[in-house]
Amino acid sequence: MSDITNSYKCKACGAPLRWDAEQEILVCDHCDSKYSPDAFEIEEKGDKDANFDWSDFKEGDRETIDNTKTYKCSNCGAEIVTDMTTVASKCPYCDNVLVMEPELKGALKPNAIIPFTVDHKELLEIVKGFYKGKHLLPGNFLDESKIMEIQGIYVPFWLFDTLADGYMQYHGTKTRSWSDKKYDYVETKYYDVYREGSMRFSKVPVDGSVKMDNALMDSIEPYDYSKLIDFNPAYFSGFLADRFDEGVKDSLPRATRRIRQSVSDEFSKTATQYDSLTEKGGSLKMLDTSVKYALLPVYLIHSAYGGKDYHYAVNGQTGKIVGNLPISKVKQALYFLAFTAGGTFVSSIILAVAAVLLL
Amino acid sequence: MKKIFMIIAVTFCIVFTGAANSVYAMPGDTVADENIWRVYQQSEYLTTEEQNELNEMAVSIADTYGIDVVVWIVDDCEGKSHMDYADDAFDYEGYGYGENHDGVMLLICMDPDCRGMWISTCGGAYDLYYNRDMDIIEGYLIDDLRAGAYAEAVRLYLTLTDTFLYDGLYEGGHVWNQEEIDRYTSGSDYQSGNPDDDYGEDVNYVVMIIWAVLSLACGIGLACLFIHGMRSKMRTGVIAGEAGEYLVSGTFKVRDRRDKFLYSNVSKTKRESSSGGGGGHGGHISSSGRSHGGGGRSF
Repeated sequence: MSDITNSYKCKACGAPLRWDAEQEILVCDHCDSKYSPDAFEIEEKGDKDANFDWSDFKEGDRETIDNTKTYKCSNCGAEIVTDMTTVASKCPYCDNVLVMEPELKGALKPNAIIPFTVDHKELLEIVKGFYKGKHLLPGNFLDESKIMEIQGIYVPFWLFDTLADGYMQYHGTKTRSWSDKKYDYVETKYYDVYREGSMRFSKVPVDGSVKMDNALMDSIEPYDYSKLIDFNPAYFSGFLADRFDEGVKDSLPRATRRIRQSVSDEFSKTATQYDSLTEKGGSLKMLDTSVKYALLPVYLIHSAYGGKDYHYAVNGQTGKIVGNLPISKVKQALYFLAFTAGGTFVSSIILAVAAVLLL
Repeated sequence: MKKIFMIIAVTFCIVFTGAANSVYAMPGDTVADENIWRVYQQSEYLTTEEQNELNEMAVSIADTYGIDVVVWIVDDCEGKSHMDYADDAFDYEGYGYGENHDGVMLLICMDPDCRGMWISTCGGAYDLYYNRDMDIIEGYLIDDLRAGAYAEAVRLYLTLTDTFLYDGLYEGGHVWNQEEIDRYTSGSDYQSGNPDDDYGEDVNYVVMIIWAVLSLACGIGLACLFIHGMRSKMRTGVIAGEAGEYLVSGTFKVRDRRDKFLYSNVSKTKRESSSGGGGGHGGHISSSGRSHGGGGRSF
C-alpha cells in the first residue's frame, strides 16, 4: 500500500495514529495508546446528535464527509476518496495515475460501514491459499507471477430491504408407470400450481460502482452485517473509498432479479409432491422498500503473469478471495486424456458386466 | 508431468489389450457332461466317426449357449407319438441345463410305419426357437433324411441350431429370408459341420466396436465433467442469481395455494413377447409335467 500518514493524532503524545484492522482500533506506535474510532467525533453540519439517523438514504442528500479529498483517474474516470493525508497514486481499477481534484468536496456520506478486519499479513496468506489445489495453474505460475498492487478500498453498496409480495404459477407433473403381460404403461398427470404469499429480505447488496466487476462483488459475499456500524471517516486511514456512480434506480433491477429468483425458489419448495415443476410466470411487488448506502471493505489485488493482468477481490472482513486464474492448456489436455482413459476403462468393465448379466 | 504421462500410458495399455473379454460370451449354467451322448442312435445309422464328430459339435454348441443340444435316431417310438417320445427321452434321460432344463432335441424315428422327425424344445430354448426356424430346419432336413444321408441331416440341423440360438440370444430374433438360408446351407462351413461361420464372426466384430465406442463415449463424458469442475475452481467470479442469504427467517408466509388438475395422458409400449414370434409350434405339458414346445413332420 502507499505510504500512509494519519490525520488522527494520539491524544497522549500527539503522534499520528494507525488503524489496526485486526483489533479494529486506532493505535499509536509511539506510546502504545489505543483509541476507538468513536473517540474522534466529527462535527457534522447542523447535527450534533450522537444517535445516528438510520433513515433512508435519499439521492438528493448532498451532505458530505469532511476532512476527505477526492482523486480522479485520468483514464477510467474513477473518483477515489481518502483522508487528508493518505496519498493515493494509482487507480485501483486500471492502475493509471490519479489526479487530486480540489474542487470536489468529498464523498456523499454513507449510512454505515464495515471496517477492514483482514490485515496485510493475512492477505498474503489468503492469496497463497487461493493458488493451492488449482491443478490447472501453469507450472511456473507461482515462480513467475507478481503481485503488482494491493489496494484496500471501501466499495459503495446499496443495501435493499423489502417485503416481496406476489404470486408464482408453475406447471407440475406426476408420473406413474406399470406393466401387464402385453404393454408397459406410463401415465402423466398435469397440474396448474399457484402460490401466493410474501417474504421479507434484508440488506440485499448491490455495488454502486460501475467500474467494479459485478461478478467479483457478488462472489465475495456474504458480509457479516452484525459488524455494520455507524459511518466514521477514521476507518479511511490507509484505505481508499470509491464514490458511487450507479444510483439506487440503476441498482434496483439487480436486486429485484435476485429477490424474484429467491421468491420463486421458496414457493417451489412448497410443491415437492410433483415429479417436475416448471415456472410459468408470476407477479411480484416490492413493498415497504428502504435502501441504505454503505461502504464495504474490499481488497483489490492486481497480479501479472505471462504478459497478462489478473485481478482478484478479497472480502476485507471475511477474507474470502475470488478471481480468475490462468489455465494451462497443456495441463488441461493431459488431464483430459488421463480422465478419458480412466473413464473408458471403468465404463468398459461396467458395460461388459451389464451385458453378461442382462444377456 | 512425467507422472501424468505414465498414468496415461499404463491406462491405455490396459484398456486396449483386452481389459474385458468377449462381451457376448454366454456362460452356461453347467458344462455339457461328455459322458452322456448328445448324438445317440439305436442302430448304425451313423458311422462311429460320424457319431463322434457330430457329438462333439453338439457339445460345443451346448457349451457356447448354455442350452443342451440333443439328437436321437431311434428304430421306433415304442408306440408313443413322436412328440411324446421326444419329450420323455429329453426329460427322463437327464438332458437340459439349469433349473428350467434348457435344451432342444431332434428325434428321427426310422419306424417304417411312422417315419418322421420331431424337434422338442424345453425351458429357455422354447422362447428362442421361432415358428419359421422350425419350418426351415424341417424343410431342409427332409431331403437328406429321405435320401438316407443321416449324417448330413444331423450336421445341417446342428449348424442351423447354432445360428438360430445365436440370433435368438443376441439379435432378439431374426426372420430369415431365402438368401440367408441358402447361404448357410450351401457354404463350406455347413458341409464341414463347423459351427463357426463368417456371419457370426462379422457380428462379433460389430459388437466389439459398439462396446468400444460406448466405453470411449462414457470416458469422454466423464472427462468433460471432471475438467469442467477443475475449470470452475479457476473462475470463481460468478454473478449471484438469488438472494436466499438475505431472506429474513420466519417471514415467509403462503396465504393462498391452489393445485388444479388439468389433464392426464397414458402412453403404452408393447412388450417383447416372451414367446417370441411364436416360439415353437405351440406349447404343451409332457408326462413329466414340464412344458415343451415342438414340431415335426414325416418323411
